[in-house]
Amino acid sequence: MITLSNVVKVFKNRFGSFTALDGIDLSIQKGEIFGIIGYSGAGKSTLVRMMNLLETPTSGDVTVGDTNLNSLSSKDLRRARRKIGMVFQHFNLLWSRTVYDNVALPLEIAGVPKSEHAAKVNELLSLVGLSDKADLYPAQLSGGQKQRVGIARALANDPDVLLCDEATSALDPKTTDSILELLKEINRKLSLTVILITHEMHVIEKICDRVAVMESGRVIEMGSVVDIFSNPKTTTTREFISQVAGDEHIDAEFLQNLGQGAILRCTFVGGSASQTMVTSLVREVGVEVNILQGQIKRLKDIAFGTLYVHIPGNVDIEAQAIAYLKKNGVKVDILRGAEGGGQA
Amino acid sequence: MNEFILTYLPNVVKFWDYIVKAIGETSYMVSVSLVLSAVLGIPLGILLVITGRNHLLPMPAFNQILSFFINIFRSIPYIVLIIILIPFSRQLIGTAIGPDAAIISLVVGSAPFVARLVETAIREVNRGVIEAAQSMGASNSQIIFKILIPEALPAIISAVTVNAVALIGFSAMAGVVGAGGLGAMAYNYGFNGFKPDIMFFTTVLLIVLVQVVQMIGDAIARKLDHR
Ligand SMILES: Nc1ncnc2c1ncn2[C@@H]1O[C@H](COP(=O)(O)OP(=O)(O)O)[C@@H](O)[C@H]1O
Ligand SMILES: [Mg+2]
Repeated sequence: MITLSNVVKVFKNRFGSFTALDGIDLSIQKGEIFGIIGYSGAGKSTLVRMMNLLETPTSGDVTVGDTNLNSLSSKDLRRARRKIGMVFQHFNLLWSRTVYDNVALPLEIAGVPKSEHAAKVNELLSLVGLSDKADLYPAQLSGGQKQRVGIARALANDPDVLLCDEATSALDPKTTDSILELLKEINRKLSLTVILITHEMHVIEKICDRVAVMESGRVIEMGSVVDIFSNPKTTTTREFISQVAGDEHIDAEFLQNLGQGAILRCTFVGGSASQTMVTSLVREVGVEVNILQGQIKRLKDIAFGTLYVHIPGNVDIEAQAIAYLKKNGVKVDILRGAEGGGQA
Repeated sequence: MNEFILTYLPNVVKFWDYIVKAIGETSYMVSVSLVLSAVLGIPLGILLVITGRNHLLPMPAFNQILSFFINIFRSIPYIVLIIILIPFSRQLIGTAIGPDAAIISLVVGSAPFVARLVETAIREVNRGVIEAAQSMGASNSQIIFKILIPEALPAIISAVTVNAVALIGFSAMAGVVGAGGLGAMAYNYGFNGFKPDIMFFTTVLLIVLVQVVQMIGDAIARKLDHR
């Protein structure tokens, strides 16, 4: 749906130049919710603004649908932008217009006859649950309601793509979740491709199918959310995961005092629910299992858990347990082998 | 009451018809120059913003020249402007005195003032909102007429109100150099003609006019402001 190939963006000013995007290659599938996560200044906003050419690339190509945006005349670009909705962190609503008129603005801009506005605006307001607020002004709404208006407005011209730049970053956690639910619902109902920029892993785990991690203008890691969670490759990614994974650190002294046996980190994805796995491991392999620490989280539509266990016994027992776990689709990392003890 | 007026404002009664005429002249000068200065000043103010760096239509050289000329007109004292514009008035309307000639200098003097006030008003419009409109595929003219002007309207109304008050003051000054109106009345009859009651009364009228104009302007701006 969206393809960026070797996109570079250099900002120039009196003091010199700054490379905000340093060769981005990205391919976003139709109908997926694609997350882009990174710290402030990583280049996320610059990247998402490439996708409707609010920011023009210094070099490289940006393709949305089957049009290469760089090649369009300014008139055609304006037409193409109608099919790419955008939602902003600070909502960017017109305070001089009512909720209704804010949602109607894109229709006015696209030259849709006024007689067709009411049906479309009312449909969108009911989609975002604001039918009763049509005549209010944005100043009379809460942050979450403002963002709902922003989303309704972005959908006015039936776009194929929805770009969300930190759409939930100005909202409290509860409102964030309700907006994420709404985006998920829209994605499903309208089979819309959604691109979500965020610095919060919570947003990614909640609704994204795939994620790209950005740092210093580069994509440093990219893949399905499950893969990224179960097998992060960079420190930055691990830091983001730890935002939502709680404290994964296990006290070294505590491990020392555990005595003989293996210490394992088991990662469960999807089907293999951790509790039944432990029970059957004990029953079928006949080993003892001490659960040290564990948690299960729900990603968009898949369960994902990590469990730290201590299995007393020798190398044979360790090998049997690991073989059983692996056979059942559990990823196992050995933190300390059965023999020797002490070192991780 | 009648007795009071006859005792303290004898000339006001005697010259009442003149005062009525002067009110008419002042209203005419102020309202026509208010409209003309808004018609000139508002587009200039918008141009000052959108031709600036990083805005809709960046034209740095044009922007600096425009800004320079606006500053020049703003720094010429009004009384000097009246004199400079005498030949121009003769060319344009055939005379350099009277209310119409005053309107020319009032417009030339206040349009740049309006332009600066409108510039500030337009600059206050949130950049994010402009960007949102661009992301919808809005053209520059749609952004000006659907975003910039409506969003800045209360501030533009306030700017026009400030200018109206300034115009009332300047029209009184123009009156002194032959444009008629309440200022001329105060000066010619009141000051030169030794009729202090006329000077007092016309001044009170000017004060009332300013208050009324300010009240109306504030009310409209408040009604339009949904922030
Ligand atoms: N118009 C601009 N001119 C100069 N530098 C810019 C401009 N826009 C963004 N940058 C710089 O590019 C970098 C990336 O910015 P941005 O894409 O906004 O990051 P993020 O959204 O990830 O926080 C920042 O260091 C920022 O200062
Ligand atoms: Mg950003």
